[in-house]
Amino acid sequence: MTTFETLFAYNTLVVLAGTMLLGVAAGVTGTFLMLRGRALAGDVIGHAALPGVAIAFLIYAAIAPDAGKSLPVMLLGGAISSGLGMLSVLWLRRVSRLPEDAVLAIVLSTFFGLGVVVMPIVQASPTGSQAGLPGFIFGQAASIRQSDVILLATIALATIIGSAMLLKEWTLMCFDEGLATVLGYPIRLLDFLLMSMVVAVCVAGMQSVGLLLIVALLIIPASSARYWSDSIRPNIWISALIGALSAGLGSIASAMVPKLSTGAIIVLVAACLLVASMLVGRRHGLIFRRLKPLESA
Amino acid sequence: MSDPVEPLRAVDVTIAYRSTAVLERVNFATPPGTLTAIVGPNGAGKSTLIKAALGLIQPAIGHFLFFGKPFSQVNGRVSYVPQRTSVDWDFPVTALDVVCMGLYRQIGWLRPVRSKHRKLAIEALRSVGMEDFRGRQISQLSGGQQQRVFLARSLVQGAELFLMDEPLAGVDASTERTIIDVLRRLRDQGQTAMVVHHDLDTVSDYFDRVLLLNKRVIAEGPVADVMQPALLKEAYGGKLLIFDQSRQAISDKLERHP
Amino acid sequence: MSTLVAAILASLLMFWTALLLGGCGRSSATPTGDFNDSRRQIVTTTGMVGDMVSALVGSDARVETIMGPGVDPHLYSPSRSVAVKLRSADIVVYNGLHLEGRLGEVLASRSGDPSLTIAIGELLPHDRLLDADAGVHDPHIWMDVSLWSEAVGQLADRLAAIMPEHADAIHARAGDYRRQLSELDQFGEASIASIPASQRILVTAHDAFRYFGKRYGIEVHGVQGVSTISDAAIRDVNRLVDMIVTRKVPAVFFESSVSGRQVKAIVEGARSRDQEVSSDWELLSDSMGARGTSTGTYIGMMQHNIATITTALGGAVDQNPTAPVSEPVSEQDVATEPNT
Repeated sequence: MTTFETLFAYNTLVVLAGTMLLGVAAGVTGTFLMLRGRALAGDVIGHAALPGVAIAFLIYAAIAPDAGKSLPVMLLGGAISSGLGMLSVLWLRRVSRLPEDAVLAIVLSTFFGLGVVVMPIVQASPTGSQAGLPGFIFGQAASIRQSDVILLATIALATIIGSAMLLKEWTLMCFDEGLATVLGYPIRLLDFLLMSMVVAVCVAGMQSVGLLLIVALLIIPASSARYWSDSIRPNIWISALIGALSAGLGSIASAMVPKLSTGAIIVLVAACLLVASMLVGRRHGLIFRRLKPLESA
Repeated sequence: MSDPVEPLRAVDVTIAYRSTAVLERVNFATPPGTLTAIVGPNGAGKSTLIKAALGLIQPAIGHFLFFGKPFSQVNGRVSYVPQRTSVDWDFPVTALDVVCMGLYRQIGWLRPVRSKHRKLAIEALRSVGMEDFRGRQISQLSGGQQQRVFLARSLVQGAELFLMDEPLAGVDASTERTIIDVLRRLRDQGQTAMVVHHDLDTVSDYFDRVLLLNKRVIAEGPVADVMQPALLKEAYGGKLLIFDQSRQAISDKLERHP
Repeated sequence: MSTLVAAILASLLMFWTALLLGGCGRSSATPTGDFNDSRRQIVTTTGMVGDMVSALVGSDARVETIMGPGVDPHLYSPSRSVAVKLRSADIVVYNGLHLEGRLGEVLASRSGDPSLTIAIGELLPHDRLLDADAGVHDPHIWMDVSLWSEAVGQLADRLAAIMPEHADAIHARAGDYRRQLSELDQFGEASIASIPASQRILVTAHDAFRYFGKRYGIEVHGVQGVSTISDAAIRDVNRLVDMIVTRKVPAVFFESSVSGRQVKAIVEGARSRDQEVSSDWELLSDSMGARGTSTGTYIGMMQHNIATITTALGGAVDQNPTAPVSEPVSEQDVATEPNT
């Protein structure tokens, strides 16, 4: 196949669409996740999805043995266990004296460990091998289909609409929780809505880049955006753009070069864009800092 | 004009942290149209008192009343200026963004910040001398400028009671003057401010009333009544030696401004 | 404190539910029999190997197979009880050639006489084996019935040496079994040959059919490679779609032990270029069908594969008394779901 044919092949375009939509959703959501100071929570949520996916499969196989695997059921299971993971983090932080990073490490390893324990049970069951659990862990972007794209488009749209509607509220909650409380905002509800968005992005992203790497898509574009703008709205746009760009370039690279895992390449491209931003980012890039020292106030 | 009922009253407020009392049986009532300094040694519970009043900390016993009502019913009438150290200065917001935050509740859920809101915010910045800095990201401001921005945010809310936590700590002289001027203007319009203040020397210059705290209320009232050596000794304990010189200065001042 | 207890109980409950359901869904191992049984215990890995061993020893030994129908041997991870079984069995017979990717450590830890741990792949001459990437052989040797039959002969010799008291019976059964396999082999040859030459292309989920292709004269392509461990790449998906469209391949095939995601992506890709490729077909690649059904034996499994491939690609199934009636696998048997 010629390069042109490869780039514009139906499957390439579908994978491009799916991964770029994920890049947008993760970029938008990741901006708020970073502002909230919960970057690693994205990692916890990703890892915590594994037991839910596996257990949902087992339950569904027990209830409807002839139906084979059901993707919606598995994704729902993943969302539920991710949600439980997040709630565990919030709860542990409140009732224990453990520092934040210890709490994150505990929840992440416990949930993921449970998933690892359940996985061989799935693999040993008659339809378990078709469930494709390793695909959820490491991603299987090459086989994205139209139905996946529709799900990703829905989630991307939801994140854009959600962040447009709640921009003020989330910004205030992330910046000054004290004032937000004093002004009477329901912090718990706002937090819940934000973390729900993170769960949605992780669950949708599981099939593309895998739950191990989804945190990278949440954090790296958002971090890169910081070097280009000091204002919230541009940060969100730029983060979405970088997310989409990483996904697009990564998918194209994977289409051109043999044996490149799409999910991993996307993350590497994102990392390169971060380094580039750190060097030439308009606001805080190294080059600009050297050439033009900040005016003192 | 402000409500004739006192803007803030504390009733038997007791706050404990892991079985240590931080505040014990605190009772006071602040009259409207006054500037009150909350003073006391480190660990006296001054910041805790403000945070508890605003609902950020739950008292074990007791409650607060704002204009005779619980805090939840008087939301828009009370504003808060936190300690500068508690803010993330790398946050990607400009001075104008920060001031606009004071208007969020008035703008309402799901609605964007419009130009008319921005105009109000710029006005507030002007009143603290910061309108030229409105486009600056907050980490590019000096300590004093940051403090003024937060004061502007407080002003734009249109509140009647201002609770401030060490607004004058570590600011330059010009900022200190600006802040005090703004506070005085507020007081003259009938608003009320309670300010955690760290510098005993300037209490009588800037404030009308004092709340002297050391885990409990040592004294509360007009400056002249409270800034007495015996009371200060009770509050500050064995640190009296430090105040020997300032004690004289304070007495001198009190004679000049009764 | 009570919330902590509740949380712990909830997670334990979740965990045990999973284990329970896993246990219910599992139909892998046959019962081990009572402890007074003096017969040797032979533990096998895949169903195909288990079938071969059962055919050879009959009831002269106890045979247990650890991987049930639908299990992917590339990814199968043994539980503790299975690991114990493998270690303590009198004889272990496995496929070898790295098919059972995750059993290497357990098998290596077997103590005692190394000749009691038999890898079928190593019984065959190297020149009959196909190469895969990175210097390893393609392990899917059961796909060439004539090759598998040779392995039967070799295994019979080995087992007879280990159990000389049953040697005659083993060799007799080997002869019978090899005769059946020879008929199966001819069935395969005749059926595949009836497929029009331009349509003799087999596209499956992973590269399990290379021995099949070589033996019966059909071109094979797998979306994933020889092992299901790595995901397919966009490049390979595109390449296959292009080939399907250019050469008008009539059908592609799911596999019972591999996720059908990649195959579906290819079908969608071909559809976008107005090529409807039939995909109602499921092959038994790395595991047999359910116990007690017609596809629950090696011969039944290969008959099913041969008949399905032949029918789907427009050939005529060889009329053979032992061959099943050829028809596309019905919707209920194929584990696909409508919307995904």
